[in-house]
This record gives sequence, C-alpha cells and structure tokens, in this order.
Amino acid sequence: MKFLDLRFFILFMWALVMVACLSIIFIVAPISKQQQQITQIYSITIIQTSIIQAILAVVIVVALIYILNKFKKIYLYKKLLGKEKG
Amino acid sequence: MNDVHKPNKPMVPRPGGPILLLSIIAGELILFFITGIYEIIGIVITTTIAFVIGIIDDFKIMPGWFKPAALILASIPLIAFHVYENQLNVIFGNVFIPLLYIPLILIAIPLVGNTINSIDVFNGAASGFLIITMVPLLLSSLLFGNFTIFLIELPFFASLLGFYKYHRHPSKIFPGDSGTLVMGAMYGSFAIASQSEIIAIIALLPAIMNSFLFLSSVRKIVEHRQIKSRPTILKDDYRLEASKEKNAPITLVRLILLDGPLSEKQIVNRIYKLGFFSSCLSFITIILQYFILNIK
Repeated sequence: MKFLDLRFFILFMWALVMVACLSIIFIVAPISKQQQQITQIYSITIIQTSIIQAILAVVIVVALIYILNKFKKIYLYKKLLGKEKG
Repeated sequence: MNDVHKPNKPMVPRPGGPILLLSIIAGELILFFITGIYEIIGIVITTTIAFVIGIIDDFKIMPGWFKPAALILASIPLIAFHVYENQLNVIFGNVFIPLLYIPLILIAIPLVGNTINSIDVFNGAASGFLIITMVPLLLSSLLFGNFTIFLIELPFFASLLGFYKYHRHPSKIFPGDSGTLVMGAMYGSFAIASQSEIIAIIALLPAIMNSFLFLSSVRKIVEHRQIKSRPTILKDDYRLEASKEKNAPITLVRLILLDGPLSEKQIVNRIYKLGFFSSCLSFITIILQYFILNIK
C-alpha cells in the first residue's frame, strides 16, 4: 500500500481511533472506576466527575482532529505534487 | 429528477425514502409483535423523525444547519426508551459514563445521518456502501451486544438489500434526503443499541473522511446545493474528472478522481472497495476486542 493510496488515509484514521480508545481507557475510565472514592474524599458530585470526563474526552478528540488535519495537509500536498509530476 | 451523469439525463423517481421506511417499519413491527422488545419502538420513532426531516429537505431547500440541528430531535426517542447501556465500549474495555452517554447520543444520530447523506452522490453509493458496512455491525452485535438487537437489525439489512436492487447503477430510484437520513438514523441507532459504537465508526471511515475533508475545506456547515464551485467536472464522454478550481470543496470523490477521469460506475466501485477495506479494519478490531474480552 502506497502513501498516496486512499486506503492509507483510512488506515491512518483507524490508527487514530485506536489511539483515542486507548487514551479513553487510560485517562477517562479510571475516573469512572474511582468515582465512589473521589466522591467520598473530595465530596464532589457525579455531575462534576462527568464534567471532568467530558473535558478530558473533548481534549482527546480535539487533539486527534488536529493531528488528522495536519496529516490531511501533508497527504493532499504530496498527492497534488505527485499529480503535477505525473 | 434528472440523472445528470447519464446521456440524455433520464428522469428518475425521487424520493425513495417513503418506501424504504415503510419496508423497515413493516419488518420491525412484525418483530415487535412477536418478541415484545420495546427498544424496537424507540428505534422506529427515531427513524421516522429522521424521515420527516429528510422529506422536508426533499421538497424544500433548507439551510445547511437544518438537518444536523433537526436530527437532534430524532435522537430523543433513543434516550426516552433507554435504547443504550450506561457504558461506552472502547474495544480495550468499557467506560461507565451514565450522564455523558446522553449528549453522545444527541451528537451521534445527527453525525451519522449527515455522513450517510453526504456520501449519496452517485447511483447506489449510499445503499451499497451501507450494505457492506452493515456486515461488521451485525457480527459485532452478535458477539458484544445481544441477540435481540441482532434480530432488530435484520429487517433493516433486508430492506437495504431490496432497495439496493433499484438504487444500484443505473438507478431506477433515488433515496433522496428522506432515504439517506432513514439509513443513517437506523445505522446510528443500531451502533448505540448494540454497544458497537467504535466498530460502526471504523466501518464508516470512508464516509467520515468525506465529511471531514468537505468541512475542513468549506469551513462551515452548508447545504451541498449551495456550493458554487463543484468538486468534480462532467466531461463530454460522461466521465468525471477532479475540479482544478482552488475554491472547490475537497471530497472523497475528488480525491478518487485525482488519479484520472472515471465513469460514474467506476467511482461507485471505488467507494465500495473503500467500504470493504474499512469493514476489514472493523473485523480486525472485532477480533482484537474478542481476544481482549477473553483474556479478561
């Protein structure tokens, strides 16, 4: 599979989705597991922990969209350059 | 309406949404009376609301924000009938998010609906693509969801197969916005109900890529009919080539055509191949999740 193949773009997006899943498991999920402990120690409500989870999830998604946007620019540049050479 | 990509521009009936919805509802209601599963009613109401939004857009050109905003309404029956679990399945495990899951549903249905709508550009593209991408969703529902959700998905899959027979190249019917929104709302509902959200996202990657490229080049939510520069140009021999205009939006089809002009049928086949590729990635993800679950 060549870099300029559209399947490569899709493969890159799949890798990003996998990274997002791993990030959610390691960053967002522990908050859910420790929710009861956190609630007892810091006396914060389920709504507050949900807001923290939402902020973290949004940060992860925004970071991935930013990476995808950068990749898109490189991909399109190489694709258009390849077409001009062709 | 005229099929502009063919010689003499033949007239093709549109919209096919009503007949698609009727066939789905008939199958789902029979299943409801046999099984008594109330989730069916939630999914059917969601799909019907999406259909109404689509049919309004079929007969009256609405602004770009209309479909995404109105589809939020379509998501509400899924919440009311609790057609979801309180946890998100993220392949490597589950995340318990009882409150967060509700806004996720409100975002998911408009996103999937519009994503499927945006890929319906050629004969058979949307229905054929969705048939291919339904296969990993069916398998995932069977393995990670429950058998009842798998059963609910079957009438939709059968309706899609029936519709494809008339929608494939050369089309005898066009789904219109009502048809594509019915397909998208139903697909999104099943992804939520079967806890296969990530599997569905992966299967839909070519369509998501199309929406991402379009939005990042146009930089606003806009109705495709309002775009002045077209991403493709129809040649005299009825093949299509990529537009050379800098202002033209970047779409999946425009990228496909950068390799050279293609006929409509060839473009649709390329879209199917990309759908097959993303479905293969979904299968790999399903296998990965299956092994992770067994290890745990």
